[in-house]
Amino acid sequence: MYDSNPVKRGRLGSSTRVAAALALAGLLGGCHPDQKLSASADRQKQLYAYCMQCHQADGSGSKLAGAPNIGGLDAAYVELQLTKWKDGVRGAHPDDAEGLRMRPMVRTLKGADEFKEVAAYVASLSTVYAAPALYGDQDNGAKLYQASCASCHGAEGLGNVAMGSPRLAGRNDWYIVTQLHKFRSGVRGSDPRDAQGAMMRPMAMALPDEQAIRDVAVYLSQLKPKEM
Amino acid sequence: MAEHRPSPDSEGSGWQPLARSVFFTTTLGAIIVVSVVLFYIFSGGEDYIARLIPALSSYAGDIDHLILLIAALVGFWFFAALFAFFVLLFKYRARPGHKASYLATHEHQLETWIAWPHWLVIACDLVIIVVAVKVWHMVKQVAPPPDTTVRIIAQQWSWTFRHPGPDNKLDTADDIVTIDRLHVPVNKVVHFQLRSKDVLHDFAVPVFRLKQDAVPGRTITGWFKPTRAGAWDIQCAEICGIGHGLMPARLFVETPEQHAAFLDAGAKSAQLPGGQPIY
Repeated sequence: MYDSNPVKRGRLGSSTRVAAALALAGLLGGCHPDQKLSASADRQKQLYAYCMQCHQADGSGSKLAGAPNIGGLDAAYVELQLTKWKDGVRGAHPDDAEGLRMRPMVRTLKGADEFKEVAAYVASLSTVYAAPALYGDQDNGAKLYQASCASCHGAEGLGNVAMGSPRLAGRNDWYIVTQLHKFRSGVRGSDPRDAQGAMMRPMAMALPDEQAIRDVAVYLSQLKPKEM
Repeated sequence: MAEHRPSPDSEGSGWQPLARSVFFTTTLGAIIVVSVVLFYIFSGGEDYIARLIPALSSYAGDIDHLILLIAALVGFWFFAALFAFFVLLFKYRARPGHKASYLATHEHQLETWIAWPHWLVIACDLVIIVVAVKVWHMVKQVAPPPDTTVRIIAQQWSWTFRHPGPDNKLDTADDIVTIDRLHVPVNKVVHFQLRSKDVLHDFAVPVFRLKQDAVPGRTITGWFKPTRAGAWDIQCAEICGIGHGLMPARLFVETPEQHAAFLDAGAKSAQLPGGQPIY
């Protein structure tokens, strides 16, 4: 047995030093990123770390940051949007302040492989519903939605992966309004490479006025599809 | 008062070799660093910094010269003070047969050792101030008449550049607006109007030695004159949020032919050309 009092002994015992070295090695080994990232779920969570700054850990978004709730979006749609941002197809218009804010954040992901991973993570989160941020008539919104939007975005608002149309049920009403305005003005969807934007732009004109846009947005923000 | 008696530890060869080696290492290090700095200053002048990062605006050389001047003057006093510090530490170290003394009065002869370096340091400060104000005035207070003017709009976390287009006038129909890409002609005086949509940003072009804060609500005018064509970096240099480090842009300094081609392409596209890939 050694005397563990360094003051009394004048220096650390050799077994103490060995123990300290082992403890330090254990700590450093525990911090090694490869071990943390080995599981795919952990890797996805790690990739989502930057997104979390605005879109929140549960994907509920932040109105202040102009970041919508994204939890529960289709993986394919999220991946497509990230690709558009990377290619400058979306979020590269000088009047798209929120899009330009998102643009550099895509730089934290290194290409298609990581887009896929983070998109899968976003899809695995559940849609966080928020109380309406705007005044809107949900009944009128439902009528307008079924007339103009449901053919692509689905009667239940679940979207259509094949057409690249996203799930709209449960999306933030303020975000839907902002995006409809952007489609109408060409701030979003006017890039010649944006096939889905080209489809959406004329459809965004279908809603007659500002109140109609709000009605649809509030309706969708509270819409709960049956199969959920 | 207890009799001064050295402790057994400090007798003979205890700590003195250590103190001596620290002293000589520090002195040697100081002499080497000063010689290297002086060598570079006298052999290359402002070219020393230009060898590390190109100096490509009309005033970059003046700013490099100012930085080196400050480094040399401040560096000289830094090492002089270190040298005096360690010499005195060594000279008046505790050793057998030497008692510490305490001065409670003013001694003119000792005070001159403080007064003279103090006046010399102030003289160096004055030199730095005069040269710095001259460079500041030239870069920030006056500007040569512009050959062209661009508008730079910063936001979290992108740059929007509004070029005047073929008519060389801003806010006309033929303006060319780009994201994260600035095109300017070489060897022309370019004025910029810097704005911010949200928070503080800083338009920094390292090769121009240019840094200018953008302040929301204000339009800040500045200028530069690029001296060599090429593609160079722009980086936001004022912390502006989570994406600050991801807020670079590219600066294209173009020959007259290249710039004419850029204006031509911009004028032909009826609307904003599609955004460029970010990587």
